[in-house]
Amino acid sequence: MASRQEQITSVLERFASNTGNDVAGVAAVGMDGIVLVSRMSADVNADRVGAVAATMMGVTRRVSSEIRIGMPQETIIKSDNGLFMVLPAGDQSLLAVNLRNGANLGLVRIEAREAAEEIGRVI
Amino acid sequence: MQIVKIVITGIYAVGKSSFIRSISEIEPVSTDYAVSLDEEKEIKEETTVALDFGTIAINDNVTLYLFGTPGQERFDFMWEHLAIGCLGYIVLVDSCRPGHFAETRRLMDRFAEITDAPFIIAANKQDDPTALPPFYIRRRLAIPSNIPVLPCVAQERSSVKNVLLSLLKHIAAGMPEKAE
Repeated sequence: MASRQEQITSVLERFASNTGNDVAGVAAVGMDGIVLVSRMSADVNADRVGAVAATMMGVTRRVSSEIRIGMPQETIIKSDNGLFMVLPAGDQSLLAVNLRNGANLGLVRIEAREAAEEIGRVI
Repeated sequence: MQIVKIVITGIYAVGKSSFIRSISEIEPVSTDYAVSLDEEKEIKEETTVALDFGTIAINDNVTLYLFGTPGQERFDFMWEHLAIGCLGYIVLVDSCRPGHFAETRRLMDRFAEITDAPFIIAANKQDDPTALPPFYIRRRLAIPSNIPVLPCVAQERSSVKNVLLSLLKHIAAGMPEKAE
């Protein structure tokens, strides 16, 4: 039986290979902001990304609850040079995805949702 | 390696961001925005809106992950989120602004509702000649004698280190003995 860490790693690796060049980095992060497994590129500090991704989750949950639209399923930032996406993976963790500019967002969203569900089941 | 999550809290402009900046080994994450309210602007120009984040290795086995909260009560939902999984927290107090002790007391009561994690008080700005002594701050905030109230200068690395080590000691002291 593979450890939890190994199971999450294999989910992230499958996600990265299914999305190919669209994804620059991906990480599974606890709701407490601490990185569980990271496949972020070397030019970003995964610990910092984990901390801000969990904060995004906190803020978007608050926004959703203020305007009474339920629990957030995903949050996407579109920036000048890429996109960043955060979605819950079960109750206690989240998936953070760093997308390249011009990525096939539709495909990545489908794959990300599946990966997040799998991680949620592992955790 | 063991990761220990510590939260640094306190009301507006007590020095939370400086505290993390003084000790972090990585370039800290900060989320500062220009202050727009006049009454807050009198105190400082920029404020944390989401979090501060830094890390410091205590030894080969333990690394502290420091999460600083925003100070204003309107951001208190971030307190709840940042407190998830924290093993202990530090309440920073501005030793020169006794007028704000009541607000600090409210923050402490709110934090006690959010988390059962142990905490200590750091009486910041002790290098200022107008700073009130820690024993007086303890009395004004009605801090029980089993909770440490430490002098602190958030700009000085050695002072910040002392406060963090005291918190770790306080956390360890409160841990139940291992069952036989």
